[in-house]
Amino acid sequence: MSEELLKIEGLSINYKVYEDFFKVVHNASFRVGQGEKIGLIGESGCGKTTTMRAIMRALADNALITQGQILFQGKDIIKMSPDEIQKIRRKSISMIFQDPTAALNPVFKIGEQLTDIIRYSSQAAGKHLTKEEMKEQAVEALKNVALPDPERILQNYPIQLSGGMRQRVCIAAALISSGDLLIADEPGTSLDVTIEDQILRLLAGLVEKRRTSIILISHALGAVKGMVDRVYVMYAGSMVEVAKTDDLFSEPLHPYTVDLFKTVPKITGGGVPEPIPGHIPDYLNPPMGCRYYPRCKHAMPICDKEVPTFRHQGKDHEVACFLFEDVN
Amino acid sequence: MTEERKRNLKRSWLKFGSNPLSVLGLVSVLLVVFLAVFSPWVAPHPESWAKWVDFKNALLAPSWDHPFGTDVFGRDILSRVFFGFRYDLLMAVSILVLVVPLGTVIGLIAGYYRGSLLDTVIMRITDIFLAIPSIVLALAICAMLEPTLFNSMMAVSVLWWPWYTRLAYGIASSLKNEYFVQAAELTGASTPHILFREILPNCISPIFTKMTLDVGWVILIGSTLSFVGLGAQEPIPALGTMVAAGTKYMPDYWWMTIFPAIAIAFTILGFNLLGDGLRDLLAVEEI
Repeated sequence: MSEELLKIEGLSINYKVYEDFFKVVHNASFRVGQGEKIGLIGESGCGKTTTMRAIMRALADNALITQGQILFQGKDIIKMSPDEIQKIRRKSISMIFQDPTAALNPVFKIGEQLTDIIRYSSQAAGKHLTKEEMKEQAVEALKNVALPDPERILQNYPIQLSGGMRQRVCIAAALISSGDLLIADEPGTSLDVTIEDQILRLLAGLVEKRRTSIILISHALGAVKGMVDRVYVMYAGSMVEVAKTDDLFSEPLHPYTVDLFKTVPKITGGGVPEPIPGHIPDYLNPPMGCRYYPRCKHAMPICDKEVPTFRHQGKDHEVACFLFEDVN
Repeated sequence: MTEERKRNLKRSWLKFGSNPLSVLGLVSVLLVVFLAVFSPWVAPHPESWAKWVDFKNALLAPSWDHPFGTDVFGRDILSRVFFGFRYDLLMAVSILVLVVPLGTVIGLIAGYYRGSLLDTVIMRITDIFLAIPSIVLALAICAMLEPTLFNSMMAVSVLWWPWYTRLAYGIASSLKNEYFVQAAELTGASTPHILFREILPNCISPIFTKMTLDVGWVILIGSTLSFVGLGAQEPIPALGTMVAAGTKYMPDYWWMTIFPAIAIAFTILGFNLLGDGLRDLLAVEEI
């Protein structure tokens, strides 16, 4: 295991709603090594984005971190001052949004927006660039994301570009300021399949070249499988399983992971995929024990009462389920 | 690049020109501005502007020599109207130059920090100013101070900024949740950058439109203050003062009141038409 870049421990996040709390993220733990590619999967609404936003300290106003710590290069992000967090945002961590098409200011040209980011991130790194150098970097950034005719695109307003192009501009912008960690929150959602594939390859390539770590959140399990080193499976705010990509896909252990993989439609046909019965628990009153218990086929009496901890199952394979014994 | 800008300008001009009322507004505004700037040269009797007495020609009805007639001191009303544009425009422009940046910046800050204590404090103060009828507030302030042109300008400024604060607040607080503002925050942009480079440029067109429309209203309220004797004082030829001076001689010497009043109406109408035209122009450009 390479050097640790980011480590989340026992993170719990509640959302304050009228008179009560949505207990969304519950005791989540997470580890990213230097230059490691991590996948984060799980169904919609299970706290993936919330966890990522906590890393960027970009949670909504009504979100409360009730316990846990987020260590980035050994320092706790939760306790950082606004100045420190700004510095991290400028040069260390960047994030690609779920809907990056809206992430561009409509009244400025692409070029102006990219240069702003380049100026900020280079200032944070202690460099001062001339206008020409910044423009060169902007062109380079657009070339990196396979945009044709970058010179012209720099002169365009966001409205003049298609959704996929805007998304690539945003990815280019995110890559500019990502020194150590890039969080890609479903970067492929508004791209067509061929471009999505291209973008993911591109991300993988860039990440490898620069030794940047990446956290890829995606519903496209195939894309996750093809790109990342390790995969975390999240259900209802807790990590339920983590393993090397190949191990996870060849031998999923947690009942949720098994069920999740069954829901994927196969390109070979072979019948309608099997959905998971039930739905994500009510976050106002989540189950006392394992949060997957109400939907689980293997539910046992203990599941209702106690929260399962991570159990080691072979190398780097951990699962939070009472069905398994710790083999270490 | 300049080629493209030229083309955009031409397109905007064609769009603006397609509405005859907007063009009429622009022409009236340009005319008023021209007359105001060059009044010493275009006025037929430039000596009439202030302290000038010519009792031989007092209270003359409109004629070729004095198209708008003369007042009790024999001053040419047409010339005084031209000079009056000067004072009224000066008042409107200085008030807006003072008020618009101030109100906008306060509103931006309150909007960006929406939900915080700062927002509450700023917006409740704004609400207090908005709750008092503006003309009453202006009258109160002017009555407290010495009635001069400068003091009436101050009074109007005090009651005018909350409108811009409200406008900027509304836009800023909705833009604050837009992805591009969040994205800027997440790339580590500083607060001034977010306020002035991300949010402000998106507020420019409504603020600009409101400014144009407001020139008319500021002139109106300034004239009202002059009319009740709390604004510019004789012999300064502010339009409101001239209307007030003429009322004593109504209806026999009607031209002393009617012509300055028409001048006020003409100016306000011109600015309103222009403002409407600009609003349409910018609204379409925005999409």
